[in-house]
Amino acid sequence: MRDDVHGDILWPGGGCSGSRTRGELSNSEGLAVGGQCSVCALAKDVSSMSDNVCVQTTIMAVEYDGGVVMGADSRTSTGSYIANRVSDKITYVADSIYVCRSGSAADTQAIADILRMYLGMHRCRPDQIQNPPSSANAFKKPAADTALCHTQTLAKNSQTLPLSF
Amino acid sequence: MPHSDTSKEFPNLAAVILVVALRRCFTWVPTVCPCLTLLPPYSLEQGGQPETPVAANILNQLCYGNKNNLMAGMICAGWDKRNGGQVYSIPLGGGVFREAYTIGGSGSGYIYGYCDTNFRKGMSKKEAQEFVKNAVSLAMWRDGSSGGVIRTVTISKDGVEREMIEGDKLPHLAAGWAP
Repeated sequence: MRDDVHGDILWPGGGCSGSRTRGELSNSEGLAVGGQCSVCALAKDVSSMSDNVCVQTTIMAVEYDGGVVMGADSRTSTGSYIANRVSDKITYVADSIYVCRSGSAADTQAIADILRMYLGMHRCRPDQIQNPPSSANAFKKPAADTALCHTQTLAKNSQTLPLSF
Repeated sequence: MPHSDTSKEFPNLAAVILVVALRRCFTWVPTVCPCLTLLPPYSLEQGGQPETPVAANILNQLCYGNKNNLMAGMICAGWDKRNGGQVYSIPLGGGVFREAYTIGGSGSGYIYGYCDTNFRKGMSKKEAQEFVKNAVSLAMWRDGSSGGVIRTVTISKDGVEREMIEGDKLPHLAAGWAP
């Protein structure tokens, strides 16, 4: 049963993490260090807030002469269950900008998507701002990577897209 | 005719109230600073690549503006013409911190010592890659909730390189460090 999986792994901030209600709750009630679930009496209460897939993880980024190196492991867990053992936590947001994600997998994916949208808008010139018909076409295009990322595709293809509803 | 008017209005009013109530209950609209919403498309008219500090600041506005609803610790890194390679950390409650290197996640607690000892400024690309792989593999070894493979991304003016190291070929295992 889903309710049994109450564990959530809330240590995304590592050493820098500030105080947070959800994190504190789960850490003090539900979790032992190392991600093992101590089955607790308050499981239901905790799970109602934080029964989700989390990236409890190791991520890092280092500057060197002329660039950056980013690194991450690949484990995504829900309590003691490994939801994904080959996940990719280093996410593309622009051609030469990537983000490492830690915390709730859903939250961080959404943030990365929104950031990718904004950075895609940065690349547009005003004459490339799109009109509804071609946006509609972009949604039809199966090759567009994600709905939020269509701006870049449009910027390239706006001259050639056929306008049809 | 007043009677028919009210009968017309009533379902509309009810519908509006229902919709408002439903939206109150079920939707959470991410808040973004209004200036952020309006400015970006027109601010850089070159059609050029976005810069890392810009990305880090947008990320911060998203993370800080929605801090009560999110659980996200992010690291934003990239290369651009003006600034070169830069690393920004955006921790749990928001905030932008530029660092020479930064680590995050539960596994980071195990490798602060290693990183502080072995990091130095002005590393070469290869040295930096080795440093990252060693540090992540050590964290994966000690931290129960880190594991799997190591993924690295190297960004420089020459482009982006991705690399993956399988879980049974971790560098510290090869070097015989494991207890």
